[in-house]
Amino acid sequence: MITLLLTELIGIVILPFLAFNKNRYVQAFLQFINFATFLYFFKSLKTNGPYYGTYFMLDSVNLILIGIVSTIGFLTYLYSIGYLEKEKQLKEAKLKEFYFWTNAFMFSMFLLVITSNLGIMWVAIEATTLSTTFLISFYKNKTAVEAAWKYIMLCSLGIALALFGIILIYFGVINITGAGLGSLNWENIIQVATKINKELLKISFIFVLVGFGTKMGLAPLHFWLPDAHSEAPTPISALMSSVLLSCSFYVIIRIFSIDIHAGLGNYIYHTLLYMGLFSIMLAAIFIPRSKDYKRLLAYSTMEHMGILAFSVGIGSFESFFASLLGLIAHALTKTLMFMGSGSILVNLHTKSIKDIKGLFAILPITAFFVALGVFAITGAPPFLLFVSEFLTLLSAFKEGFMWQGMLVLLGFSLIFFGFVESFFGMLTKEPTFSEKKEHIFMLIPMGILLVTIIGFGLFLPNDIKTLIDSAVNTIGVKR
Amino acid sequence: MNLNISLSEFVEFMAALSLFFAILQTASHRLDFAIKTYTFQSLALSITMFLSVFYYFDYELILSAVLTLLIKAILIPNVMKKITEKIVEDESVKPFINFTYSILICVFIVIFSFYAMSNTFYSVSSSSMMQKILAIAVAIIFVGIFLMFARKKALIQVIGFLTLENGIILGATSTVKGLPLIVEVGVFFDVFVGAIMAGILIFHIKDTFDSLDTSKLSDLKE
Repeated sequence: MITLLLTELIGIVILPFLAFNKNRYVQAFLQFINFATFLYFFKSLKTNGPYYGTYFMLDSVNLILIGIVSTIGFLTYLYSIGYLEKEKQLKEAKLKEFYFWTNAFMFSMFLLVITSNLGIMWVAIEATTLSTTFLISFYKNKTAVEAAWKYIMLCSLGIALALFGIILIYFGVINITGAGLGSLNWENIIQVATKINKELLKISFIFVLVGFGTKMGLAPLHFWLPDAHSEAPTPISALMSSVLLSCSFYVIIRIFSIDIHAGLGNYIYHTLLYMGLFSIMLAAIFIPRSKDYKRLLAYSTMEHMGILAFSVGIGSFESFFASLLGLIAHALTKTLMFMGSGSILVNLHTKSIKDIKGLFAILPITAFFVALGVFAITGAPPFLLFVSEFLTLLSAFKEGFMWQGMLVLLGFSLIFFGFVESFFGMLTKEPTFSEKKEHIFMLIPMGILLVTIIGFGLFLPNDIKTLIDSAVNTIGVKR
Repeated sequence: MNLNISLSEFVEFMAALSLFFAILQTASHRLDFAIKTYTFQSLALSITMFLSVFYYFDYELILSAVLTLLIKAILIPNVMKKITEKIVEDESVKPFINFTYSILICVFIVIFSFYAMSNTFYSVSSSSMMQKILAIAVAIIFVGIFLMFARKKALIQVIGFLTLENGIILGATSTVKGLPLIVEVGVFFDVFVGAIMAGILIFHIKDTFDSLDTSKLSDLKE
């Protein structure tokens, strides 16, 4: 467990001693160690079963998250090698600042997913807010500073409310087991969940949902999301969109699980369902109207988060399975799209959709990845996201959520047309720029991601299937 | 007149005092005054926590009280003061909602939180003092949120957030006798770092926008 945290710290410590040219390879290698650690955990979970300690835990739910954080982290670091080389105007000190905050960010995310203690989870998620603030204001222009300010204020406010929710849960638990660090331990809380006062849990869930929902970008609380995602350097947008928001979702389902074990069924399910539905609809309205492709992707992130919440809200085994599969699919696909858009941005220096035409001639390989990515992200077969979205809709109709399911379907088609219109306008027609040179380190991660989402979409490996199955059982679904 | 005030009454009094300072915050016209009120509010909070030690006999609270005193009553106000000194500007607060209405809204907030808490926690809480302090804490939380939305100045919004944080810590003290030590230290660390980062960001805002007025932050729109 400690390895994951240690590599990030090593990354920070060696930062000042190496020149940037060596540094970036070393940093990427450190992330690779984390990826290897994840594979080791995967194997050890299969042979030894879950582990619950005082500070750390390892079960199928957080293994999925460790997988997402380490895989996407490694690929993003690989991508950053090329991205930062293309950003020629940045000085050495600025690049070190980038790696410092990114490592701090990765550190807090790893802490978030491996800890077993709700209190430490809170501390870690607030730490992610703080470590990303200066990454959002990285370019120090008007819009970047504005986005960073909105981000730190809104997210701190939301997360502070979530702390109050966690305190209320703790209050309910210490009446049964007594005060102490153990009473914030997720595993311990689950065991006494049925005895906790129901009113207390209801209020606490509202606070938690408002808090972590802000961080996750659920509908009425999403205002920071498009700004922050469009202003941050693109590798960070990818990390935030696919990993950070997944981590917030992870905290929500951990606490959701406590409430489900306590028997709060319908109340929780409905709140999540309608919040998710609202997010999807709002994203469907904004996506066709976006003039900036990074903002468009940010709204698409909102849509995916909406789908996750929606399918948890349906409350059957299949829908929960779809939600966790969607989490993985979203992380892989959205990273691919952000990497593609980052390559466009760093070569052409414009975020406006209508200024860019003929990408197939300007950046041929990137354009190819982006074109396939558009279909992957809108949920067309044979990509991985299709499987999860299809399962979500299927279980929605099966459980009798007819008009909700139809609305989601309508949202999907609007989003599909929005995406196709914006991106294919950029890809085809007469090129508006001359052909640019593509960086090999920016193409490799995109290629890996594309192969993964097609491969998983066609044949989902049995290991992953059983992993998600056991994760659903760990969280526990019962109406 | 009976001057024998019991310990619990005194704890309640100090908690109420920090609510008073929180509300005074909304009526403050000047930035330096707002920072001073925040200092006093944190002071009242730390005294509340310190006295709760003798009420609950939970000695971890002493450390929390000392940390509150150090970080919230000394360090953060000093950082804030340095920021206001460096940024020379007209110091008035610039409200979205004017001061009279602000106070009125705060009154409603207080009434609402006492009402809400008296209904929900009647069955759960064991002592009436705990219940009253929890209501006060919730009132402080809402006043903090109100402050964040009703003021244009970036610095006041930060103070609003810190007020909200104080409310949460007070709530934690009254209901669960303080969080476990590691978590509590983590929370303090996060808040401290957050306040400093917000301070640095205020410098950037000043640099790029020539003003601390957050209503001018409106470039990002659809």
